[in-house]
Amino acid sequence: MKEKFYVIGKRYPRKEAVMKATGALKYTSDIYLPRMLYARILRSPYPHARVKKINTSEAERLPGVKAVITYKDVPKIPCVKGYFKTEALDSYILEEKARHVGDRIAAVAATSLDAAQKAIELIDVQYEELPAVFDPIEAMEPGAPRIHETILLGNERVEVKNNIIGTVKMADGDVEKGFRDADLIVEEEYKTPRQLNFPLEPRDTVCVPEPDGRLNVWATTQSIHNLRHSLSLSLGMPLYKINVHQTMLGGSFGQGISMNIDTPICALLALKTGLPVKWEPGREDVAYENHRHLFIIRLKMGVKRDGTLTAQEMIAFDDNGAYAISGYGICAIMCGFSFSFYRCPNKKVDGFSVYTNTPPASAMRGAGGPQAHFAIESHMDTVAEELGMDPLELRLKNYTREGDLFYGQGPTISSVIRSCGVEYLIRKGAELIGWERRKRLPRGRGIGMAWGFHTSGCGSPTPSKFMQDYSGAIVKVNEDGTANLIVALADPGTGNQQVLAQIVAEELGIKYEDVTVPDSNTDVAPYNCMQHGSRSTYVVGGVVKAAAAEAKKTLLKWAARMLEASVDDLEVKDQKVCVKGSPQKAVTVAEVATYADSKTQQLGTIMGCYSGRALACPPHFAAYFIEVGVDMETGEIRVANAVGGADVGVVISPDGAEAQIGGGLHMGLGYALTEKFLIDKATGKVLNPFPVDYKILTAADMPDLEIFFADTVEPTGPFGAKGLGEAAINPVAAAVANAIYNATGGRIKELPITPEKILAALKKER
Amino acid sequence: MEKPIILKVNGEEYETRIKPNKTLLEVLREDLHLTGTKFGCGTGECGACTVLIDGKPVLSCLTLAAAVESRDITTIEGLAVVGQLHPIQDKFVKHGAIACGYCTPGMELMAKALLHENPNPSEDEIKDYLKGNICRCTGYYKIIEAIKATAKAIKEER
Repeated sequence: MKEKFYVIGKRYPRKEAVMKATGALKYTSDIYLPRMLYARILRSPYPHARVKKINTSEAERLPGVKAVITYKDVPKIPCVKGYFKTEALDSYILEEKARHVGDRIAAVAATSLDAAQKAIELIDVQYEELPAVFDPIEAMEPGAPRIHETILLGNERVEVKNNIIGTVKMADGDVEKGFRDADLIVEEEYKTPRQLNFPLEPRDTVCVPEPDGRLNVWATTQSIHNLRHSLSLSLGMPLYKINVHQTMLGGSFGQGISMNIDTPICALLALKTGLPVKWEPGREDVAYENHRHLFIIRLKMGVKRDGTLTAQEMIAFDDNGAYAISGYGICAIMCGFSFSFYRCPNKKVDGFSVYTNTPPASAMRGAGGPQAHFAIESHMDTVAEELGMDPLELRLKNYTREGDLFYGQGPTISSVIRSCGVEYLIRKGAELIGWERRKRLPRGRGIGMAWGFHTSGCGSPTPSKFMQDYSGAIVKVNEDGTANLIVALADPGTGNQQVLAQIVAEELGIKYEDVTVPDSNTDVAPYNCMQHGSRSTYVVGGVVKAAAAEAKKTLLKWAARMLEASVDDLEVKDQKVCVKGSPQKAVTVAEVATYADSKTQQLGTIMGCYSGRALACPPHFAAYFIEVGVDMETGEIRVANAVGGADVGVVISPDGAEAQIGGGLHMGLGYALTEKFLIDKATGKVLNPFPVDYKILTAADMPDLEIFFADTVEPTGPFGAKGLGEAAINPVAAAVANAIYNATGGRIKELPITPEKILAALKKER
Repeated sequence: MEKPIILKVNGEEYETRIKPNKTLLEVLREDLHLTGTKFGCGTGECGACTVLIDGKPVLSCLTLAAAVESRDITTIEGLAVVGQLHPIQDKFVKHGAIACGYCTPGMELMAKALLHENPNPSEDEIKDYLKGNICRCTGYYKIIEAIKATAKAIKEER
C-alpha cells in the first residue's frame, strides 16, 4: 500500500523564493563591509615557467595598497584544495613556478579594485620559460616536460612519473576470452571536451579577521565544513578558530566543491592586513580555477549475435590540468561508472589521470559521468546498428538492474540496486517521443536516446577510503510549535532547503510553512561533508529525517502526558499527534509545544539530533529521447523535441525535480553541441572564458520538453526518495549523438557536435 | 578624480561621488547598496545586470552611470511595493521559476518590459525576448510558464 503523505510530493514555494524574487537575498558576492579591501591575483602569461626574480616594492608603494604577497609569504604547507581522499597535494598557496597560463604568482589587497589591479601591473617578475605540454597522451611520453616532481598522495610522498597522478584499474572476468567468444567486436575512440561550470554567480570569498585571532569567512562554497578544514590545514590555523558562514549560491555545478587557490590567498591577505578582504573574480579568473575534465576514451565491446555482451574493455586518459584538485578522483568515478551500465561477465578498464600545462580541471556536475555515458551509450547504438537490433531492445536485454551490483563514485564504492525504473523509463519515453517514427523520418530528421544514472551520494556498506559521506542535523521545535532545522547543507539553487523542510514537516506532523531552515555556519552546525554527488535528498534528507524522528520521540512523550495515554499508543497522523484508533483524541504539535513551555510545566525544548553516514549510494536513473533536425547542406542542428524521464524514487518536490531535468537537459545539450572551453594548443592560453564566445544555450535554443517520473520507492531513502541532479545531465550528449546519427548517418565521436563535424562525417559517408 | 552624480532609481533620487568611468552596475551595487542587480559576466552577455531605463531593458554592466544621470532607472528593488509582490514576482515564486535566483532579477525585469510592449505574448515571443538572459539552472521552462501565467492573470484582472 502506498504511503499517504501530507507534505511530501506537494508543490510549495521555495523557502527563499521571495527573497530571490525581490533581489533581497544576499549572496557572497553581495557582501560589502566597512573598510573592506579588494584582492587581485597576478597571473603567469606562460604555461610553464620558473620565477627567477620577483620585485613587489613599486606595487607596495601605490596608494591604497595594504598588502602584497608572493611565494615567500605563504606557509610551507601543501595546500589542501580538494575534497576526495585521493586528492593530490601538489603545491603551496603561492609557488615559485607557473604551471599554466593564468597560474597565480602573487596577490594584492587594496582599498579598491582599481588600485589592486594597478598594483598587480606594477609587480616586476622575471620568468625563465620552460617547455610545456598541453595534451595528456603526449604528457605521458618519456621526455615530456616534467610538471610536478613529487606530490603528497594521501599521506605518502610519491614521485610523479610521466606526469601521471594516478591510475585506476578495474577488472572482472577475462576480457580476452570474452572477445574470443564474441560474434561481433566494435572498437571506437571518443573525445569529450572541457566544459565550464559557469554558474551565473562567479565564485566570491570574503574573509574577515578578528582581533581575537578568529577568521570569519563567507564563500561561494558547496561545503562550509570542507572549506573550514581545507583553510585550517593550508593556513596552519586551528580548525575551531575559523568560522565559515553559509550563503545561498548562485548556482555551482561542482565549482564550489574544492577550495581552489583564490580562497586561501584571500584569507592570507586578510590575516596580513587585519582587515576584511573580498575576492571578487571576473569570468577569466573563474575559468583559471574550474572546468570539467577532458577525456579521451577508447572503448571496445564484444557481443553475440543475440545481443548478449561478452566483453567490455576501456582505456581512458584524463586531463587534470596543472594541479590535481580532485586527485585522480574524476578518473576513478568515470571508470567505476563504466562498469555499471550493462551486465557483462568480462570487463576491464584502465584509467590514467595526467598533468598537463593547462588550467586545473575540477569537479563538474556528473563528475566522470557525462564522459562515461557519452562513450558507452554512443557505442551501444553502434553495436545495435551492426547487429541489426533495435537500440532499445539491446539496452533492455543487458542493463544493470535491481539486485545487481552497481559501482558508484569509483571502484570502492558500490551498492546493490534496490529500486530501478529503467525499463519503464525506456518504454514510456519511447512511447512519448514516438520511437516507431524513426524508421519513417526523412533524411535530416532523427530521434535518438540514451539512459543513464548517477549515485545518490557516496555511501557504501563499509566506510570508503576514497570518499567521505556523513552528515549531521539538529531539529528544534519552537515554543509556538514551528520547527527550525540546523544543517550545513549548501543550496546552490537545487531547492535543498525546501526538500529538507518538507521532510521535517512530514516527520513531525506540521506544515511546510512552519519549518524554517536558517543559514548556518561551522560554529553551530554539525559536520556535513559536502553538497555534491546528488546526495542532498538521499543522504542529508535521511539524516534530517532521523533528527526529526529523535525530536518526535520527545514530542510523543510529552503529548502522552497531555492525552493521558501511553507513548506506544500514539502516532503522528493527519498533522496531529493522536491515539491510534481514536483520531479524535489528538493534540497538535503547537499545543504540545505550548504545554511544554507553560509555567506550570516548563518541560523544555522538543529537539532531536542525528549524525551518521550513508550505507548505500542507490543509483537514480534518467532517460532522454531527443528529436533533432539537421540541415544537410550546412550541418546546422536544431533540437526540436525532447522527452526526459527520471527514476528518483518518491518525488519529494515536483517543482524541484522538474527544474533539475530541464536544467540537466540544458547543460547536457550545451555539452553536446555548443560548450567547448578552449585552450590554445600552441600557447596554452585560455581563449573563451566569457559567454560572448563560450556559448551557453538561451531560451530560444531549448526544445519542447515533456517530463515524466517512474513510480518507484527506494527502500533505503527518506520517504522512499533518491537523488536526481546528475543523472539529469549524464545521458543527454549520447542521446543527441544518437539522434544525429539517425538523422544523417554520420557518427560523431567527439563533442561538441558542430556543423563542421557533421559535414565532415557526411563527406566521409560518400 | 571623483565627480558628483545624481541618479533617479526606483522613483528616488540618490546623490553620490564617483569616478567618471564607473558603470551603472558598479554604482548601483557599491555606492547605492542596491545589490539586487547582479554581476554575471561584465561583458554584456548574460543579462544578470539587466535594469530598465525609461522602461526599456538595458545592460547596466556596459552603461556608464554618468550617461544615465537624468533618466528613470528601475532595478529589481523597484518592482515590489513594500509588503506586496509585483504580479510577475508572485508568479515566479508560485511556478517554481526561481532556482538559484541569480538570473531572476534580470528575468523579472525583462518580463515587465515584455508585457508592457506585448501584453499577450506567444511562447515563441517570450523565448525570443529572453534570449539575452542566461539561466544555468532550469532550462528556462518554468520561467516561460511563469510569464505566461502573469500575462493571463493581468488580462483576467482587467
